[in-house]
Amino acid sequence: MSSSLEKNMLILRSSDGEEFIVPEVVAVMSKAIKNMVEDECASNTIPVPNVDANILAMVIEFCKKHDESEAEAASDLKTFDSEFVNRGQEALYDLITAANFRDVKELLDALCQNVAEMIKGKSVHHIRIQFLGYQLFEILTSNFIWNIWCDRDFD
Amino acid sequence: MGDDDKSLAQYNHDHPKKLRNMEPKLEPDQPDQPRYIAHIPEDILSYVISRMPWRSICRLKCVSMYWYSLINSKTIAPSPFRSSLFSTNNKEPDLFAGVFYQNFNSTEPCFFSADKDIKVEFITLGSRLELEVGELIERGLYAVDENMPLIPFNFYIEACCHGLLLCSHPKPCKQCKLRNCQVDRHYVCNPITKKFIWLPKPPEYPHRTVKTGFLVDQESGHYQVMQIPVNFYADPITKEGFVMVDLYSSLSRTWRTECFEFHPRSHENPSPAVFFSRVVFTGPAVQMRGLLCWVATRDVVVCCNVEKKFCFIKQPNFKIFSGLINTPCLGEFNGVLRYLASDSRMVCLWDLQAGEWELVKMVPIDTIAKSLSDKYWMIDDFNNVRPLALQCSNPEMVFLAFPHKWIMSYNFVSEEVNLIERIEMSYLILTPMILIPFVLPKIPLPVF
Repeated sequence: MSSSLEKNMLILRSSDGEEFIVPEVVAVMSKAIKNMVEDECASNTIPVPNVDANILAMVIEFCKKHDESEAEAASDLKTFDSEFVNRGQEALYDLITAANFRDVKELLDALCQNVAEMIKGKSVHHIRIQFLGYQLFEILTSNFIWNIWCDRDFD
Repeated sequence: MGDDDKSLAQYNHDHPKKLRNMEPKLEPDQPDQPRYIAHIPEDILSYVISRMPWRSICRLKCVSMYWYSLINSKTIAPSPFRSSLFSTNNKEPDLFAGVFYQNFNSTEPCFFSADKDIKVEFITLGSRLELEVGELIERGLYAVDENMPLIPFNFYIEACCHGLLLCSHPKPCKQCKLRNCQVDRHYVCNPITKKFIWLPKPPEYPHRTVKTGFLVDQESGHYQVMQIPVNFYADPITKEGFVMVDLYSSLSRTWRTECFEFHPRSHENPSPAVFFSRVVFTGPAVQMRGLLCWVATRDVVVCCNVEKKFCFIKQPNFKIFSGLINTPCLGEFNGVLRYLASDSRMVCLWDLQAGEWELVKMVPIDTIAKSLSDKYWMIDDFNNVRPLALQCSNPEMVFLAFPHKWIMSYNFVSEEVNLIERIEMSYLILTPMILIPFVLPKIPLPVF
C-alpha cells in the first residue's frame, strides 16, 4: 500500500473513516501531525480522531491554500482567510476545536480574529443569546448579578 | 499550543475555575446539542478576548460570571489594553497614573498624570463639570484626555482604590430644614467607563462623619464604604471604647451599623476621639492589604479593617530632626505602608517593614531646591515643604507643596522636580489640600 503512494504524500483518516491524500508539506502545517511525522511514529495513514470528514476537508483546503499562496500577495491570502472563516457558528466551533486539537496556528489565528470581530460590536444580551445559547427567558429570569449595570452600554 | 507561542500558552494556568459552577451552560454534554462559540476551550476564548479593544472587553465582563472571572484573571495579557490605551503616547508604557487633587474650598477636582514618559499633564476638571456631557463633546473638551473622561457632577473625591473613585456630592438637607444645610451623598464611579452608582442613604443619615473609608476587592470588584462618625464612646480610665461605624457593602447593597472596638495601649493616645480630630486634617485613607490607614493626631497611625477592630501603629520617630514638623502623609506600594514627612530641613520616607518603620529615603530640602535651580526664582521659602501624597505606581515619586506657592512632584532617584500648580495663598492656610493618587488598573472594574 505504502509503496503505491508517492514518497511525500500522507493519508489522513477522519473520525468517520474517510481518507484524504495530502502532500506532506501541507499536512505538517499542523504541528501535531508534524511531530508525528518527525518522530516517525506514524505510518502513511494518520488517523485524525475527533475531526469529521467535512471539517477535515475544510482544514486541508485552508492549509493547501496557505501552502500554495506563499509566493502570492499577502492581500490575496487575507481575502481568502476572511472568506474561509466566514461560516456559521457550529462550523466555526468545529473548526476551532480541530485547529486547536491539530495545532494549526494560522487557522487558529484567522478563526480567533473572526470570532473577535463577531463579538466585538454586540451588546451583552446579544452575546448571551447568540454565542452562549441562552434563551431570552433565561436571561430575564436568571440571577445574573450584572443585570443592573450591563444594560447600559459601555462606549 | 505551539511552544513558540508563549502568549497563548500562558493563558493556560490559573483561571479561577470555581466560578464555572455558576454557569448553567458551559460545555455541550451531548454531541447533538447545538454548539456555541462560547463553548470553545478557555485558552482559546481568552485568546479571542485578548484580540478585542478594551472597551469591548469591559462589556464582555457582564456576559457571565465565567467570562468575568476569565477576563479578570490576570492571565489575560495586558497587551491589548496597553496597545489601545497607549498607542499614541510612548513605546514602553507604564501604568497610567496620576493624582486627583482638590481643596475643600473648591468643587474643582483636578487631575494630572504623572507618567514617566508622558509630559506631566495638568487637567482641571473644574468648571466643565457643571456642563452637560453632550455640551462638552460639542466644545471639544471631551477629548482633553480620553483616559480620564469627565464626571458630570460637582463632587469631592473622597477616596480612590483600584481605579474606582468614591465621591461625595453635596445636596441640600431635607430633614433639618436649616438654610444652607448640606449633606453629602456618596457615589462610586469608574472614571474610565464613566459609570457611577449612588449609594443609598446611610442609616443615620444625615450624620456627621469624621472619616470615610473605601475598600475595593481587586478580584471581584466589590467594594465597601465605611463611615466613622464623630461620636466615640470611651471609658476614661481603661481607654477602651467603641464606635458605631456604618458599613456599606456592594454585595448586599445595604448599609449596616457595626460596633468597632478599640483598645489603645498605654503609650498611645489617652483619648480615642482625638485620633480623628476634625480640627487637625489628616488626609484620606490609604488602603494597605485590606486595611485602611489614616494618619491620626498624636503620632499614631490608625488602621482599620471592615471585620476587625481598630489598631494603632506608632508613627516613626522624629526626634532626630529639628524644626516644625509638617503634617505627614501615608502611601502604599506593593502592600507596604509608607510614611512621608518633612520638617524644615529634610524630607523623609519610611517603609513599614515587619512592624518597624525603616527609613528608606532622606533628602535635604536644599537638594530639592537645587534641582529647581532654573525655576528657583519662583520660590523663596524652602523652609516649609509639606508632603502631600505618594505616587502609588512609582515608589520613587512623591508630591510636595511649598506653602503658599506650588504643588510639585519630586522623584527621589532622578531628583527631578516638576512644578504642577500654583496654589493661592489663602487656600493652604485656611483649608488643607488633598491629593489622591490614582492608578488605572489594567482592567477597569465595573461599578456594582
